[in-house]
Amino acid sequence: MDLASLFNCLASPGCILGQVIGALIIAMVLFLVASGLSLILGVLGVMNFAHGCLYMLGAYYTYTVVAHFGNFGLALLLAPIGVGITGVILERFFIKRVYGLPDLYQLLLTYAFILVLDDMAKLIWGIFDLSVPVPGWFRRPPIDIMGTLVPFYYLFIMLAGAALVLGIWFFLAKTKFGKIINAAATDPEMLMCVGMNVPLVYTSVFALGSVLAGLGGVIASPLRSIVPEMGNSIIIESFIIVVIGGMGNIIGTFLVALLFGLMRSFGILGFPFFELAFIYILMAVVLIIRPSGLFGRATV
Amino acid sequence: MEKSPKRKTGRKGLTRREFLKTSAVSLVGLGAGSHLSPRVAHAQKAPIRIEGISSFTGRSAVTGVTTRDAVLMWAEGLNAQGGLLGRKIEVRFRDSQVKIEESTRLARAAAASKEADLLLDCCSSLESFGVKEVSRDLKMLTITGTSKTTELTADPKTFSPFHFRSSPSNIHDMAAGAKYAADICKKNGWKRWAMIAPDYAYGRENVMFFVRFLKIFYPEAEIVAEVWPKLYEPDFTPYINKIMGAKVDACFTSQWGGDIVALLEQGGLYGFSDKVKIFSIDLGDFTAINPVIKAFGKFPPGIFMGTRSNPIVPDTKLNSDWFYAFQKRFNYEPSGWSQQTYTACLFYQKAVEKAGTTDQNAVRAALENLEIVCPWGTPPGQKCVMRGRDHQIILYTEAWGKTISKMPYVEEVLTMSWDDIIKVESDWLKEKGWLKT
Repeated sequence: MDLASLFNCLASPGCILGQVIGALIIAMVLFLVASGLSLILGVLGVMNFAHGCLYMLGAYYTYTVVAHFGNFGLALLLAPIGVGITGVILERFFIKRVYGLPDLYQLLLTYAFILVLDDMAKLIWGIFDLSVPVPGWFRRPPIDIMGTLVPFYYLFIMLAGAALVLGIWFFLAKTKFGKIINAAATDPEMLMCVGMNVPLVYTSVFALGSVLAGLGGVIASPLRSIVPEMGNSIIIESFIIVVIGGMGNIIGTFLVALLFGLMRSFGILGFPFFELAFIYILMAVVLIIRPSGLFGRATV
Repeated sequence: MEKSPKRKTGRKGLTRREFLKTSAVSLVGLGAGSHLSPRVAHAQKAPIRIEGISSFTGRSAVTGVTTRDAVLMWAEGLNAQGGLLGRKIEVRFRDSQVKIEESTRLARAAAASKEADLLLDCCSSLESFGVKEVSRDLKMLTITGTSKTTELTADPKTFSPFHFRSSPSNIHDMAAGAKYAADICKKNGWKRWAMIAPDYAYGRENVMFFVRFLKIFYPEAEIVAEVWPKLYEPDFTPYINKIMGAKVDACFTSQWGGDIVALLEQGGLYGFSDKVKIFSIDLGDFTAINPVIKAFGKFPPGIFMGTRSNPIVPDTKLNSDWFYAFQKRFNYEPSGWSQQTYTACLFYQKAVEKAGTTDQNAVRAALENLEIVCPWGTPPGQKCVMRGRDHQIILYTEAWGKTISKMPYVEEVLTMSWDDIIKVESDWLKEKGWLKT
């Protein structure tokens, strides 16, 4: 333990700001991946263990677009769409066959996707680590706020992340299609009875979830090494966030992702050897006290 | 009436009985001979089988591919010259998937089949302990080419007569690194240090040795921060914030592969390498150099790094010829793992030539204290030795330098003295009771 380091930081506004920004960066990428997973799990009831692979594909597609066109902005547009299309293919040809089946079938199928997609990534992009440079627009000296340096690219991630949180919430809560998605999560049979094409809704939800995961990969690509299996590091954390936040609850997912980031950021200061344990302890407590999640609907 | 005399068989030629008897014997003899002699001939031409175990799965595939290619390059070169002892070299690699149970199973299968003449262990550190146990248990000649955990060879309780290591030992790497860092820091007055290393055996051991030896060579050094990101950690920002908040002069890191790339990428946003002098043991590997160049547009100058496979480290024709031959053959630069595994093959080749046989017991005996000339050997002689007491390679080039932005990406290279390395290593071993005075 290094409590002195933690308390010293808590006594310094600049240090608090620095750690909070670090937490937000972790939270934003996690939120994007976890929100997509939350939608897929909450609406379709599918435990998509391959969701981390969609995040990985977002990063690889970004690498390909940047390598060919030298334009990160283009990658920001094309890569998530590419992952969305990949998601549609997976859902239409494979995932739909396990709707309503026991969880084990979904687990086996999506685990198979992990193995196949990781090896496909290796075959297509090779075995060596790849990198995407930070876009030129953000390559400037960091801004000094209260003695804490804030990189421009992190500002972009925070602002874009905030916009996405609001945008996704608005889409799901206030638009007609969002209400259809909520209805599909609540009672798909009734939705079908009123004439909605429920399979199309399911495909759309899976596509949306995939786009969000791909977007996470795009944003993370200038910061992280792009390698096969990079999705494995994020999928467990995403499931934890969904479990604690409550399935299908976007605001809950965001708040828990933020909590996750803060625990990591400040935990590293005071408890460098086991800061990872805190989020797992929190998950265990939530599962015992409120299995539907902190912000999920309580189950009867 | 007199019986007719028996017909004499003195007439020329064979009787039918004799003919049949002779034919039968001849056929049996021919059959036996044709059965035996090809086997004798086949045994003379039987290939020498090298069985490799490494990971070809996911992000660890870079280890498997770069080590396999090094072995293939050695085998191809030797086969082009007629093989070893007139026998062709056959190479086969198996995927351990970074699973201890799988690597152990593959090692047992190789040993039990009695077809492999040499087992090359190119697995992770954890797996190598299991493979070494198989080597001891089943007396399978094994050379480890990748794992660097010191205990693999330093602990006499786990000594195996059939196990050898051609990869560096962490203690050697850290003794050299700490000496280099101490010399530079003394000149510049850089006293405040941070440590950032992956939270598993490799990282923990590196920091333990680096700190120990740094304090020996530079007692004024203070370790003011230690952070332990998990292996393959994607987010280094909180760790970078902590280190920069501690106002350190210098930072040692044993992050490797994608982790050192991510650390530099995220640190670059803060100007980390400008504010803190970084000493990295594994940045010099081209598996890290190339993605860093992609991320930054150029290799960032001014970082102090240990050198792995590099055309000018050591700065000899033998080394640069090997480096560029590998690059030409496989279209990528050799990794440190490639260099270490190739050296394992050279040791094996020399031992077989010395023993005059591939019998594993004889080769094992020939390997002990064997001295070879290899691209990785310390100049001027470029010799490496397989130390007899612990079967650990020594006298390979341990060099550090400062990064520059163009090939070979390092300058002001200093090759560390093995006298210094052996001295501090011996002191530590004696403290542990692993080396008698």
